[in-house]
Amino acid sequence: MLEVRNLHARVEGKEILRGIDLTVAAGEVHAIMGPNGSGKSTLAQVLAGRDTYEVTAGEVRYQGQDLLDMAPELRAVEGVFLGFQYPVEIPGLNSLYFLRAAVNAGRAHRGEEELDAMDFMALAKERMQAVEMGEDLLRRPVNAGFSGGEKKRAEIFQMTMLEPTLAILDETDSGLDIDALKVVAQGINLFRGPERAIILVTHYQRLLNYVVPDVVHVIHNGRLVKSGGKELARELEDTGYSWVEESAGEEPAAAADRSQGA
Amino acid sequence: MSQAASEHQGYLEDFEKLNARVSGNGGGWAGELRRRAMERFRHLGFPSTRHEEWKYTSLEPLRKACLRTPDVSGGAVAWRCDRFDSEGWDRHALTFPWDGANASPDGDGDDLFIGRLATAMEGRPPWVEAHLGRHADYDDHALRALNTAFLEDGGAVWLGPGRVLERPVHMAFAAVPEHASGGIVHPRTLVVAGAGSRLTLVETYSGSGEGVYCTNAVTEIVLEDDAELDHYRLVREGGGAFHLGTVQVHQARNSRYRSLSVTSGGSMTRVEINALLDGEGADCLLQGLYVAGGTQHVDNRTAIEHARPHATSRELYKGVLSGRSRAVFNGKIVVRKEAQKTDAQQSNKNLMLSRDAEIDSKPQLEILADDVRCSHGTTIGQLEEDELFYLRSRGLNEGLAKELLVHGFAGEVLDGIAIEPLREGVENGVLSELGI
Ligand SMILES: Nc1ncnc2c1ncn2[C@@H]1O[C@H](COP(=O)(O)OP(=O)(O)OP(=O)(O)O)[C@@H](O)[C@H]1O
Ligand SMILES: [Mg+2]
Repeated sequence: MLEVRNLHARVEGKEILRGIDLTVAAGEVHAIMGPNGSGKSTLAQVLAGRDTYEVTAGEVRYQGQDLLDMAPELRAVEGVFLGFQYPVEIPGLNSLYFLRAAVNAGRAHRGEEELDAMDFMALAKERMQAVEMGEDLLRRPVNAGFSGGEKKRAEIFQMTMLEPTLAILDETDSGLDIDALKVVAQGINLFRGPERAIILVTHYQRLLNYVVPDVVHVIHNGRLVKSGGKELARELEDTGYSWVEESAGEEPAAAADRSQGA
Repeated sequence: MSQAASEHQGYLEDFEKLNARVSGNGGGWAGELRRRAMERFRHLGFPSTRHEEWKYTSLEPLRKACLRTPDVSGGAVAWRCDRFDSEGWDRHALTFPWDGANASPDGDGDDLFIGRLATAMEGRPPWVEAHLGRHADYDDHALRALNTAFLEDGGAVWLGPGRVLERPVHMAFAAVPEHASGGIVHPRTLVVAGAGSRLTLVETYSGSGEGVYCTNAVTEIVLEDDAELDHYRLVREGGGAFHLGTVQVHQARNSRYRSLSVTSGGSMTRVEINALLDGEGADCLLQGLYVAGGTQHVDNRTAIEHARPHATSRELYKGVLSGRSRAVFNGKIVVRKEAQKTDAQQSNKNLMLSRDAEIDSKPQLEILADDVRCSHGTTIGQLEEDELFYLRSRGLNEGLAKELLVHGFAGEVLDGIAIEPLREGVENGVLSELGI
């Protein structure tokens, strides 16, 4: 579904992604872990089409298409979803109105009829229940004044409404209390399916207890330096990243064998 | 001087014609008012940009256009082409030019009058003579002087003490196509709200097409003790039009005035809203939205004068500018020496959608009392990249994303329009002027 090859990206003259190779097949859940500032969010944002980051080399194919060539909104309607590490507050824009426009943008793209306000509300109510999100949040402007946890829950709710094919969740588990974490994990698990893929960016094993990943990657200094099974995450929890930093100069062997090179 | 004289020739001729057709209307008293005002106008002439208050807004194009007032009954308010004609809300409607259909918008009674100013002047009830022309001072203001000189018709409302009006009064001034080219009209409105009375007033000024015409409107509002008024003043003139307007409010003790002014359309728009808080505990809220695109020029000027203690004023004006448009905001707050415990806040926020648009924003605080709370702030910014990307990442195309953000920005003001169909009409119509 997703093939990232030798991806390099920089911002303000500083190289942040320095050769990312990553292949995600339909049905898989990949976790990406790594120290602060290693480039996790940059990778997520580049995949979603943020143009603050300049892609200097490499390519990304998504369902056979050249993803980097697509506008952010086209990626979205083609099924790419980014759950933001820091969801943006938009005072003055009603959440329901926004989300209906987003859902209908996707439907229009697929040649489906737009949902009217009533059908949309019915769907929204059903999905809200799944992530135990209060309806009152939806009556407020987009993320405006939401607590950290509420924002993350709202991201998952948006995901379930937009029904993407590839969901990239950037630290959606950060800032959640135990109960909220379970609810969010449940939302993700419901969403999981053979046609879909998920990339989870996380710092903690916690989430991975509930959403068990197929592959875990370690990112360091703009490269995936190690990949393994779910036990790698547990290992990291015990040992931290110091060993990664020591071997950071070496080639990312584990990642390399999953890709065909640039 | 001779140049000025010839420039004024058209106005003088039209003034004489008006006097001939309205003689008797309001009697000698009104005629005297008009004559004095015309004298002032001849003396003052149109202000140039050397005049401090007209530094950023030139009336040269208006002066050169030598516009004429139609010589028909009600010519000074000859109108009809309403871009604010939203359906679905119940109101007392006053439509100008007068079409007779609404000759009496169920506004006659012992304790109220809702109707034409011309009718009110004929009847000469005490509230007309006591207030008409007494608040909107024209001694140093050429345009108000001109409006007063051409005082012929417009809307009038009088509410007796304690009278609460459930339905809003809507005064719709709309340009008539045949007059919308080359004409200047001077609608005049008087609202007198007796002690403890309450009403909502909607004034709309609109026109379409690209013809050059001018609306030069004056509204006088008197709020007696404890009276309450919600006032929506909405402007969307035709593309070639000038809109000049003054709202002059006199507030007595514990009265509440809430104004929401929308200025859009036209080639040049200038609206001045002045409130005199002349009673303890008076409360004044001024909200405004100005929207300009292309080469439009829009100038909003407000003055809140705290003359008595314990009064409160709040002000929020927001602007959205695109293309090569230009906007001016000047917010004056005066706190007189005796107006202790004044609480005044002012804020002006601007959203610039293009690099070529310009805003001149100027707060002007004159505080003579020492125990007051006054603050003001101005912001000028662009659309937030973060917000734009967030919306696009959810599948909204760039144009729609921008539109939603602009609507969100304007919503802080427009959401104050409690009449839902009107709010929707304003939001969709006015923001389309931006061409995004
Ligand atoms: N817009 C930007 N301008 C300048 N530097 C940036 C920008 N965005 C990211 N960076 C830098 O790029 C590096 C990687 O940032 P990124 O946000 O991708 O890290 P991360 O792995 O997501 O970290 P965290 O775990 O703290 O979320 C950091 O050093 C950061 O300061
Ligand atoms: Mg991050």
